[in-house]
Amino acid sequence: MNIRFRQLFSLTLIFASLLAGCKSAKDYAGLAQAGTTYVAAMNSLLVATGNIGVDATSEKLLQDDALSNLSPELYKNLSDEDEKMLQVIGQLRQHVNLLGQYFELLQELATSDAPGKAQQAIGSSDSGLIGNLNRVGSQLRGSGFTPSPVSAAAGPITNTVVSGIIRGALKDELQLRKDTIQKELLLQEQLLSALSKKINHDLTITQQTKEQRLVIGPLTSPTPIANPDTWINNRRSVLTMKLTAEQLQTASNNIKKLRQAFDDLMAGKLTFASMNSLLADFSTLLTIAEKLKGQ
Amino acid sequence: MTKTKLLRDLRALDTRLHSTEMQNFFSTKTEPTRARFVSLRNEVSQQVSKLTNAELEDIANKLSELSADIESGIENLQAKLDALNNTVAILNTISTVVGLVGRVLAFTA
Repeated sequence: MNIRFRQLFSLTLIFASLLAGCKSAKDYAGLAQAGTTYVAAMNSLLVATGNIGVDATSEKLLQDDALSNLSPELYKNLSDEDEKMLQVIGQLRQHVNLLGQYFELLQELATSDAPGKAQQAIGSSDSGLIGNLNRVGSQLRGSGFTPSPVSAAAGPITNTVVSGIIRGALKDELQLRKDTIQKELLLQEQLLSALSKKINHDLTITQQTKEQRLVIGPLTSPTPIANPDTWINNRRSVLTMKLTAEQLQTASNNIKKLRQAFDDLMAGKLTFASMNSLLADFSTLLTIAEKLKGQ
Repeated sequence: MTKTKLLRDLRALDTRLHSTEMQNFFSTKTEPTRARFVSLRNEVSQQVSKLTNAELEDIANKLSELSADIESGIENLQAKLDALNNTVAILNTISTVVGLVGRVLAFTA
């Protein structure tokens, strides 16, 4: 009886391992975490792009107004394009949020506590399902249903089997969605590059017009600067404005690493070091995006 | 000339037209000259915005084409999570029922 049980459990274990492949749930969780961080960064970046774009147009309009009285038509030329930009950004954010949901569920599945809960539910000779079965068995025929070596092994084996099922489900899902995810990551690369260039351009214009309006203008005017502390703060914020945009351009290249990490994961070549480096890069990207959002 | 190169060149022109030097230079000119300059500068900025929006819209449309498959993925993952939670819940229920049977047997013995 014991031998048969052991054979059955061993076979189940081997089957679960084969079903799952050799990638660990940690690899999937790492990729999903990187994806979730990237999505958070992208969301902030999209909000920042909208705000910085609208502000850049406002600076342009003020600059134009300083030279010549603007017509409603000239105002609309730029304002309509801003509205269009905000609409497209809304569409992009919707899609990014969808991608975020996907990565979150992937992470939830990869880090699921179901194996532990299943092990607890199965229990051992004196707890959980097996414990209760044994108690019933003892009352019916004076001995437990499950032999003690099997009782001791059932919980850990259940844990392994459920873990294997989870890894199998993750592998199947990513295999099924491989082409879409690859296309998605390629487009995200293009999007990040386009946003980075737009933000850089808008901040360059905003910086030079703000410098003239808030720093050089008051300084060269015949009257002394009314509030020197405000002027100092304005000057610092204007001169440091583009530093974050330059950091963004560097960080934008990291999205390529996510695509590489996904390909490596699918090929079973993903290393712990490359996953950690990717996570660190996306945390930096998130910090930069948050800084830009606050500008 | 590619769209990317055109946008890059137009952005460089837009930046130059909004520079302090350019602003100072035209501020000394007559009103018609200033108005003409503002109108031309406005036209360049509008073209930059149009090209940028077209580029972003193109990416947004291509991403939207992938949305349906990502939604299927979300449904699939959610179903897997639900199935796992159900399995654990079923195991717990069976364990509770067996426990109750044991208590009934103990009571009737």
